[in-house]
Amino acid sequence: MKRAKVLAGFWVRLIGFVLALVMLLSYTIYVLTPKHDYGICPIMNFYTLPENSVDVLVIGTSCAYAGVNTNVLWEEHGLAVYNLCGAELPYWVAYSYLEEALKTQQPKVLIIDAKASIYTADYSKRGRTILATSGIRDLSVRLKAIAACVASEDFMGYALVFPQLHSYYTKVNAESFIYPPTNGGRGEDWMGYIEMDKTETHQKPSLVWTNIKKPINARQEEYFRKILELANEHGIPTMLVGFPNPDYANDHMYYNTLWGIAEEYGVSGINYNDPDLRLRLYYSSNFADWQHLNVEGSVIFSRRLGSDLRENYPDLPDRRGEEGWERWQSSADAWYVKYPDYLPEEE
Amino acid sequence: MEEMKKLLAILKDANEDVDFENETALVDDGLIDSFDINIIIAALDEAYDIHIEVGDIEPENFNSAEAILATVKRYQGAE
Amino acid sequence: MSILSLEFLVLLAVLLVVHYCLPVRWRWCSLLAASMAFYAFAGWVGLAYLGGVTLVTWLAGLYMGRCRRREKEASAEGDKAEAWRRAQKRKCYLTLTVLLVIGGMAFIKYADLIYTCANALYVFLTQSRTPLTAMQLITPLGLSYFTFQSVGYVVDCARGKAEPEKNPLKYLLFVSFFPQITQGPITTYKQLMPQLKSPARFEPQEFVAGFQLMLWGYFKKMVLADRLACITTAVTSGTEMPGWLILLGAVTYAIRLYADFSGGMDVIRGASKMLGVDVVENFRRPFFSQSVAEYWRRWHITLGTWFRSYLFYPLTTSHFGLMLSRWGQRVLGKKAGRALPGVVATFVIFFLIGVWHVANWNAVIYGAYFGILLSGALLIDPLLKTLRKKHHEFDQKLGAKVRDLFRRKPEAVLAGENDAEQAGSTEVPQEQPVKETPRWVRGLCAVGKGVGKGITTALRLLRTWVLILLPQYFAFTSGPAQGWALLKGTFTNWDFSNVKNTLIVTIGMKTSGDGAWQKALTEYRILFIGLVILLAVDLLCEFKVDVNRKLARSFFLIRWVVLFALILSVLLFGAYGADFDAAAFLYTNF
Repeated sequence: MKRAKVLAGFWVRLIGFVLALVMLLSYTIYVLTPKHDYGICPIMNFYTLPENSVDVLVIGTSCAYAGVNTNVLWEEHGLAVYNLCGAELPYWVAYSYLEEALKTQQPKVLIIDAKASIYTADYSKRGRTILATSGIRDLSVRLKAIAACVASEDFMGYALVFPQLHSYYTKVNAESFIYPPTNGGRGEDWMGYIEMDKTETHQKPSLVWTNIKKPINARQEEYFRKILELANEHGIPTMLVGFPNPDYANDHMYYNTLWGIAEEYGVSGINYNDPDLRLRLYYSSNFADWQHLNVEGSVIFSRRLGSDLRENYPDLPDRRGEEGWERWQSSADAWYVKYPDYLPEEE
Repeated sequence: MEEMKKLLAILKDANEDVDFENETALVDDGLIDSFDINIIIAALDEAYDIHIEVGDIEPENFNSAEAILATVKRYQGAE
Repeated sequence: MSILSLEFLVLLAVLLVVHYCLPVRWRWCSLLAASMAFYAFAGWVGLAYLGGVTLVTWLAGLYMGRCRRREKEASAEGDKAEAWRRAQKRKCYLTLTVLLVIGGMAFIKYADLIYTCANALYVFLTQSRTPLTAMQLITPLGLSYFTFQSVGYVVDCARGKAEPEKNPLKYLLFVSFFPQITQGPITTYKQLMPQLKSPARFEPQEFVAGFQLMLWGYFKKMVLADRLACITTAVTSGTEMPGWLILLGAVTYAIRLYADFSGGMDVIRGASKMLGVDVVENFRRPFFSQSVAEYWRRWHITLGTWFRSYLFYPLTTSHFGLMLSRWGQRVLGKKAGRALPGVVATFVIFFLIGVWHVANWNAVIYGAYFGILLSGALLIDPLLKTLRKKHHEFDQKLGAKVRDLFRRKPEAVLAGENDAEQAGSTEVPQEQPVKETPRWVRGLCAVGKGVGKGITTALRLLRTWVLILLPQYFAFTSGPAQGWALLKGTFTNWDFSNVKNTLIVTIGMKTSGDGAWQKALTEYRILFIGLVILLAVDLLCEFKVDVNRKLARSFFLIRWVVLFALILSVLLFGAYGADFDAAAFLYTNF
């Protein structure tokens, strides 16, 4: 009997130990993971949104999160937009993001960034891309995303998290311990738009516009198709967007291929690099660097994007003043306090 | 105990510092090391003309003067 | 499979479940299955070789047993001649087996050297231009360890100290027991087999103690040893280095070796403990040794005992050894003569230990060095004894004089005398009161003695460290030339001009980039704190505090905090994963 008691005590303590350890390690992983606003923050914040409140979901790379100014789109068009983006987001992570997003949201329009078509690597080499998947709550989706990011022989190292993450202890500071993350200081109402405050002088890309199609990376194509199929399955209209950037001379042949693929699924979109669109963007003052629109650029671009959205998708509701969409309002209010110059003119 | 006296004399000659009369854990407590055991074996070989087998170099056989005497007797009896 | 890998942990976890579900009689089967699985990971060729050695030594063991039985029968019948003949036969087969198995090990280990010599000979004899093709020999995992262990078994059977194992599978388990096979310890048949046949039943505290020991081992290896590895590889591979850096490298090499090897041992012992098998210690805090001889009793203990039982004693107590002793006593005097076989055997053994580590001329230096040191210690021992006696006498005299100086009559007697005076008594007290030394003087003397003892201990430790540090230059460098160059370099060129950058690079960081110094400092801080913890635990153990057992028995929340701290340290600060090359254990390729 005594031995039975001893053994029972042991098992109880063991189970308690394992549970406590799992919780401790999960929190440690959270602390170590860099909480970049271009990393895990967009998806972590996404889960806090009320269900079925996002009307326009944007999934893309840094070009998207710098260009789509959610506050302007709200203030001037009443569109509830969320940027579920990440730095250099490849289509395989974008697909997992979409899978996750569709569990709680049913957007009326899905905007896909064309930029990922220019990435030629078969697997994600940058640690931050892989780390971005740590924000995904559903473990099976997260593991699938990691498996899609890396070659199979490396999978275990990244799935176990610690091999990649453990040396990040040097980067831990007081803010790392706070849950949930502060979204780069923007707070809970952030809708995924990241301001690029620099201005760099660039020139309009000089190129001969052709219809030549350069093949895109096979795996990027595979997951791009999966994204389109998934959106189709859920009956969500998809809009392919080419964000304006000075580097377009390099990108244009890949974009041609991408548009060709999208056509197969009946999906079209707008390539905003096309000068015929008369965007009124100045390459000399509206860009922060080779790839990204700066704040002013994002305002100009988003105004145009908003009117294009209203024109092409007339069913998009105007959510201003509606109950349940207060967070978009407070996000816009806070933003315009910082950037009063961009307040729309009173009519 | 004439035999014991003779043995103690031999052991003292081999190593003066160790108290062979009273100690009962010579090897276990590290009072004699492998070099000492060698010297003791050589001395025993000289004195009793016995060749202690390597297999018998065990702590039990060398831990005390009594144990050593017993080992010596065993070898003498075997001949 | 390395014991550092995830596969090992998974194997261990599965084994633990299976092991404790089986009845005690059959638990050896799960251990054998796990050992085979573990070894198979390393390749089929190695497994075949292991199987071959096992078969040869198992058969030899059985034959030795049979020989001994026949000898006894012959003796009992009074046929001394026959008994002697059979004994000779037994010794002959024993020698053959040992030569075969050890020869196999030597051949594989020194294949490169043998090839070079054979090739040189071939070219010389045949004047051919094309050299012999080199054989690509794989070193089976744990070659030395299972070779030594199985040879020990055969010799023990021949000596009658072990009963030959009739079941070849059980014997295979003894040879290939997976926690030990990669880096030892080398256990004897008597120590290990009974435990393998019937491991201890499940005891929660022992299980937890085993787990703790494994964690501690991983901490030592991954957090300390692998971090130190950055410094040591920088020094051994560098060229022009300031003397202080070489010295730092040599010292850290010693510490790294200790953390690495004893860390591995702790993982091995911890894993075995969790399975109910107690494996002997291989390290007993060697840096607390006060002499070189003591060092070799605390460092790689099982290698020392193996060489002692199977090489030292046979050599010194053989007929040759005794003859040498008699000759020595005639020529060199009684004391020196008696010590001579031991001295010669020591030279041989340390040379072999040197050769076992590295197959070049460094081995000779290594062997000669320790041979001279240990035999020298023996020879000057009488001189030291007289010195110590004289010092002790001086101490006593000094102490007595000091106490005399302060002797005075105790207070009570003084008071009594005063009273007697006042009362006008002229009676002389019957007894002379004993003069007492006041307590504070006695206390001071005791403190002085303690300080003296402390200083002696400190000096002895320092002496041992210096004596142990020197051969490092020749144990782990590529040859005497490099060793000598590094040794010379230690005393020259103490250029401190580029300290910061040098320290940053040696810990594995790049000098460019902001905060490189800060990052390097963090690494050094972690290292320092880790070493302090290691020192504290080792000190406690040295003062006979069984830290592991105490922790296993303590209140569970305290234990959990310590375990969480250890687990986090290993996970966070361990050298593994994306940024590091999993540094292999240093002693697994032997």
